[in-house]
Amino acid sequence: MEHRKRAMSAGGMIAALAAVIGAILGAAGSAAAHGERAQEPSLRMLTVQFYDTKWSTDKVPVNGEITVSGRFHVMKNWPLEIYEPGLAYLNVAVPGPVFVRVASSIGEVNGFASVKLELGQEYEYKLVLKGRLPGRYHVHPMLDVQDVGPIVGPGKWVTVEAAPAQARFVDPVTTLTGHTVDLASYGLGWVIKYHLVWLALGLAWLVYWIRKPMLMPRYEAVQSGEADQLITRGDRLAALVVLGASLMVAFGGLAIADSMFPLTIPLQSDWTRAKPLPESSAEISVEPLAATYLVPGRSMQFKLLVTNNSHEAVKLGEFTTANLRFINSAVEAADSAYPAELIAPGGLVIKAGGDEIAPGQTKEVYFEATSPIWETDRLASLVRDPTNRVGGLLMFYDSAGKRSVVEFSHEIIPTFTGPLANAY
Amino acid sequence: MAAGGQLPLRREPAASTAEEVQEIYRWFDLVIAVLLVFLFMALYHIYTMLTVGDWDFWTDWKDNRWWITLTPFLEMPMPAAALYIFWSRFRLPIAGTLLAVSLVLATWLNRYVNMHGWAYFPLNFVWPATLIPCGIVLDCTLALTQSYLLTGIVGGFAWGIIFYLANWPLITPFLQPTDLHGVMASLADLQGYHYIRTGTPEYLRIINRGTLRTFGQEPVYLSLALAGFASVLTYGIGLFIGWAFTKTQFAWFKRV
Ligand SMILES: [Cu+2]
Repeated sequence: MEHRKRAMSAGGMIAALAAVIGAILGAAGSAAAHGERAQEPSLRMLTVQFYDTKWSTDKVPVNGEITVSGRFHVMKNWPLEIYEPGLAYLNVAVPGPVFVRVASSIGEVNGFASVKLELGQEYEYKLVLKGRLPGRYHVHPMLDVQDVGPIVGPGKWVTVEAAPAQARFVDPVTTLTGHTVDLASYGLGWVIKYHLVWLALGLAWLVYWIRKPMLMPRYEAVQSGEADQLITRGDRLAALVVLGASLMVAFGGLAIADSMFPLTIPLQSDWTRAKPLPESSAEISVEPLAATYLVPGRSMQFKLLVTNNSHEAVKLGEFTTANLRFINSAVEAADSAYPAELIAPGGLVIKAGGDEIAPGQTKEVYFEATSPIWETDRLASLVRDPTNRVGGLLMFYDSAGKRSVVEFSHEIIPTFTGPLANAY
Repeated sequence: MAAGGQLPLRREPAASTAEEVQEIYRWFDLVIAVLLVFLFMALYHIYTMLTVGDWDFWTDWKDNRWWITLTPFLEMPMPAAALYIFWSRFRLPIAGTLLAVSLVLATWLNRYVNMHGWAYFPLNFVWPATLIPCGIVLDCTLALTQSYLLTGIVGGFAWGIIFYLANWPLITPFLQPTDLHGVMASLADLQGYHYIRTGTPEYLRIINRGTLRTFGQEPVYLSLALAGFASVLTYGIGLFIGWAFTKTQFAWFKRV
């Protein structure tokens, strides 16, 4: 019995210690990692597709600004295993507040609020960030989606430089009452002073009691029935004094704060509806016929039925999914500012169905997206997902360069023998 | 081993004179006091992170509805349990203040080392609330009334109220309005917007939400009443835990 008790308390101590360490690591870890490749492929390929992502620069001084902007498409064929999106909040995947967000917008509304997203729609977004802590950081746009979790856009390395003249970060904000404050440190002095007053009062009460003999003599007195004599008149007087002082500080503090800041508002929070972009895909429709992943060749292969209802001939220029881009070099030039590691070197290769879909034509198109990136970006593991489906955006261009962005998704079957082309 | 290893109880005191006994008791007091502060720092802080959590972490969660209601009554059980032990065994009315001071030290340590040092948040965004006024009110009520029941009803209710009175001046400077590109936001909201939190998106921020809006303009009074009543209730729960603890765990103390 005795042993078990001791073992239990030791176990409790270890549990408490583990909880402390876990809490510390947990808080630090969540700030450092984005888990961009850790998320399951169906979440990355079938929910929200970021595209046209632009970083205005890859080097900013402290206090300098960088704009991250682009578009994202919310997939119409949202996977069953992932809850449909609730509210979404435009965020940035960076290791904590190494930047500050000074402005943002999503679908033409202020990014301070959360927004409702509609399936099958595209939205424009913009983030203006200001460099705060010198270092080199991977900067991703990110959507935090209620009931889903974070959906991370492409990341680019951005350096915040400690230019000597501007090394001290400042965050000036002007209130509606006309005061300009530095939000980087504003109010801290007041908070600390006020905390110290209360700490002094608390310690005064504790010291009053700790000065007396405490545990053993009092325990013995209580055991021998003399408990009532342990609280003296002086003790009660001390309690009255400390209580009175506390009430004075509490009411006094409230009055001082009210007179210093007569105009205050409650904390604000809001959600709103973001305005989607006009649909660019209405004139092109895509019906996926087959998709396979050739495991030995690390090649995704797709057969689609494309109908061109526009008045111009179009060409398939790009396939993008999970922030990876497979570009048909015959149609579209690679974007040199886009992170190179997210552009598949092999690109998109059209094997059958020709390069051009004439106006009014319906055509079978067969293309391959071959790259080790499927493995290195951990998308090939989709065979272990509960939804064995691949999806993404197809970009068609007409001769004038007008783009149509079309979503598609289809069940996928891995093959270990030969390419889908063999079926032809 | 269990039977043979029993230590013989020492009947003769180790110290011979009364002064020496007092001296030993003093050292015992101080060692226990230091150990208790560290124990309370760890336990109470973990408990607070798991219960009050975000409301205590960020200025833009410190609203006049949830923060001032949840914090006091969630924080009550542990000091109430300690209050029972300290009062029933030692007639010491210090448990509330001792735990509150331990918590304030632990939370500041956590904010400074962890949230500021590791996660880069500015301290003026992540300062903790102070529970010390609550602890003082509870302890002083106990010293004056010498009654668990009166302490619970009067001190417990006051615990819930004084949390607001004493902590609202901390958040007041951060509630000045600003214009965030066409949206009015307080400085606290702006801190939450500027200092990027990857794990706490806007829609998870539970502030000012609730249905009880029909009691006039100010939600504060309702929140305060709720905080007071709920604190009385959780005081009762804590007291019971303290009582249960002394019934089971105090066997070891009698042997010392
Ligand atoms: Cu990254």
